[in-house]
Amino acid sequence: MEEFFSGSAFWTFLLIAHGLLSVALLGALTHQAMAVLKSKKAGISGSPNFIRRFSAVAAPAYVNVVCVLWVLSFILGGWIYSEYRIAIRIPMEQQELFKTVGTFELKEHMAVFGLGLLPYYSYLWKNSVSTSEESARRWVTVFLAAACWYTFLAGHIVNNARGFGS
Amino acid sequence: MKNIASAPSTSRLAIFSLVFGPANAILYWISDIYKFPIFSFYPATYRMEWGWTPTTVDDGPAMYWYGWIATALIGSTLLGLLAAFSPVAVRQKVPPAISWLIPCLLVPAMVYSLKFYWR
Repeated sequence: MEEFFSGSAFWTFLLIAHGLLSVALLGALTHQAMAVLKSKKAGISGSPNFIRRFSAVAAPAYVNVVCVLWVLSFILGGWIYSEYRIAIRIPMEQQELFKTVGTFELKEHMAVFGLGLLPYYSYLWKNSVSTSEESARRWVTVFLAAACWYTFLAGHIVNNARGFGS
Repeated sequence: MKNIASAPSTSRLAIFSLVFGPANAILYWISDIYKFPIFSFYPATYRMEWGWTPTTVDDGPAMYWYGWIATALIGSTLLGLLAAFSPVAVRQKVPPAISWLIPCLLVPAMVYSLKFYWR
């Protein structure tokens, strides 16, 4: 595939695909996390507002798409990482943008933690669960959403600091 | 979303997936801190070496992230299988809360491990 693009266009294409998958994942996980957090307060009366409407989704329907998007986004991110290590990180270190580099390093770690949680996350949403498992389902989902927000924002910061082609 | 069971499941699938997540986080942290990637990768030359190898003049910077992931995934799969095929009495003692608690506790540890960059 690299043969059909110039080097820079190829990596930019991968980065945009990675970004689009991440946006979809962020939306799905945010809806789902809001739904599980709001379900704890079920029964609160009041007129429907933005938060209630945002949370009123069929949370179990998001499970497969979250798993698939996380894995695909992870694979693309991992592929891009080899180019980042040479073309982005070295110049950022030379410019002493250490906090930006550190922020991105933490993103890698969060993405791996999230990847490892996917099997249990999937299990919890697809099976009958006990009270303690219901709590685990809530907090695993919230952890994945928080990790997704962090990884998304960290990637965005690094792209602002030194995107491909800059 | 179904909520009918009264006790956490002890099925092999449940225990495997429950143990896999936190084991992955712990093994990833260990392989990062103690330099245990299964392999090191040199993105400038596409060369791979087993274990932890340093950056070299000829091959450029070494990447360990792929190796850490491989260490963590292989190790957590083995630990997950070990837990899944352990006696039911053992499986009953694995609390579901470790699934999210251990990764949460390891986040500050990972932040600390990057202290070089927070200056």
